[in-house]
Amino acid sequence: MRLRRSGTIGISGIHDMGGVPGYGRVEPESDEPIFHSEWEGRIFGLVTSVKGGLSRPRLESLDPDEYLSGYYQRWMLAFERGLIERGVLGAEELDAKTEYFREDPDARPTRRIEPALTERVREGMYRQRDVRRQPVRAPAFDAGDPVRARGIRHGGHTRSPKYVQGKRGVIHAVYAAYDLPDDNPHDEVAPAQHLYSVRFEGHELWGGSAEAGTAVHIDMWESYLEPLGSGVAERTDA
Amino acid sequence: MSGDHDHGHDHFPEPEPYEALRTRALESLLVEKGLVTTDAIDEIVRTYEQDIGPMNGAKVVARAWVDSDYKRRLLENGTEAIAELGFGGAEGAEIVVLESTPQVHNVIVCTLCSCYPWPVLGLPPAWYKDAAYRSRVVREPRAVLREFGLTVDESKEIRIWDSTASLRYMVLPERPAGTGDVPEQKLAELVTRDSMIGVGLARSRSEIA
Repeated sequence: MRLRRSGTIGISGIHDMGGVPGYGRVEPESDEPIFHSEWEGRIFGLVTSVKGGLSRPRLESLDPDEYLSGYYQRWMLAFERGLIERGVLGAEELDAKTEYFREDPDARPTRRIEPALTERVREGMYRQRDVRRQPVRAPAFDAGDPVRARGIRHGGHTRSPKYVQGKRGVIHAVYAAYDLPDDNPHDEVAPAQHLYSVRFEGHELWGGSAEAGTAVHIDMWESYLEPLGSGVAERTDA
Repeated sequence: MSGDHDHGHDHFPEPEPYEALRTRALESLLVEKGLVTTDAIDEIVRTYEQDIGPMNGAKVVARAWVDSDYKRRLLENGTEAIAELGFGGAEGAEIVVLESTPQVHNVIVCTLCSCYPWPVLGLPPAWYKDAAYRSRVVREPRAVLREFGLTVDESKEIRIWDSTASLRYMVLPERPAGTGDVPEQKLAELVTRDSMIGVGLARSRSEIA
């Protein structure tokens, strides 16, 4: 069982960008490299091998300017703050080390080679993880059921985007049960819940401005949904 | 960007960007504290630059195009069928494969983050992680696809899959016309990264030598 995060991290909401206007054109690069500079690859390697630094709540708590500064920029910021918060690194030692590398552009990070650890890291990249959980009850919805996405008001981390909250959809598929990643106000361990693929028609999400013949299918945990219509009494929030 | 990385002794070298210095500091401290090793980081970078990328997904797609039993297994349980070809791991605990057809064109996105099926597609391109794509493709997918040079007929449904949870999606694009006699290995060359995201189609056979 995982402990829930305690809500000490404030979520800015900048990350929840589905349908938000004003971000301009998509700009694909031709022959894009995997990493645009060496530091991007190094920070990727650090973040994926040192546990406990980066988390989605930490990414989501960055200021909008920080979040929008770039993908690996925001990884780096969230990662170092996570490490500092957990006492893995000191803020002063990190600043001092940064200054050291600024003063000596030829200096390179301390090197340590350890094949056994590298092998474990290598295995980790290919390890198949089982993220399914035993559900505590049967799924509440079947494929074809009409539902409404509830409003999420706890203010913490959630996987229910704002653009579907309050909107009507239809269950497209019933998936297995998975851990609910939401923050919750009482630090309780939420039991695993069934996940669903829910279909929302473009016109339901965007009204008259929707493009014809478009729909969004989105994965939603059971507690994000309430039953809708067809004679079923609507549940109210307890 | 000038692309001029020739820092000769005649002129001042460009100062290193802050991110490069900060990353060196982080790596140095984490190595000194025994939490990571230099060669582990080297190996992760090398793996995602060379071994884990869209060439893996292309093999999956080509197999599905030539083997209808494999295609059925792939659509029923993507993770297991993809493992048959030896692919799996980080960000691939559950992979669902979406078949695009003459009636439905599938596109993947992660509006909240940048979730992406690493074992089959590698690391996502920058635009997939940026705000323009994440904000717009759920709202005006036809306009966004046109910016990629792809016009989808009005009669065809566009279905956007927002990967918000534990599953990762990839698209099985339509097989290009006139490729009935093309062998599987050659077919894989027609399968682009963008066609498995849904912002492009597989190439036609005239586009490869």
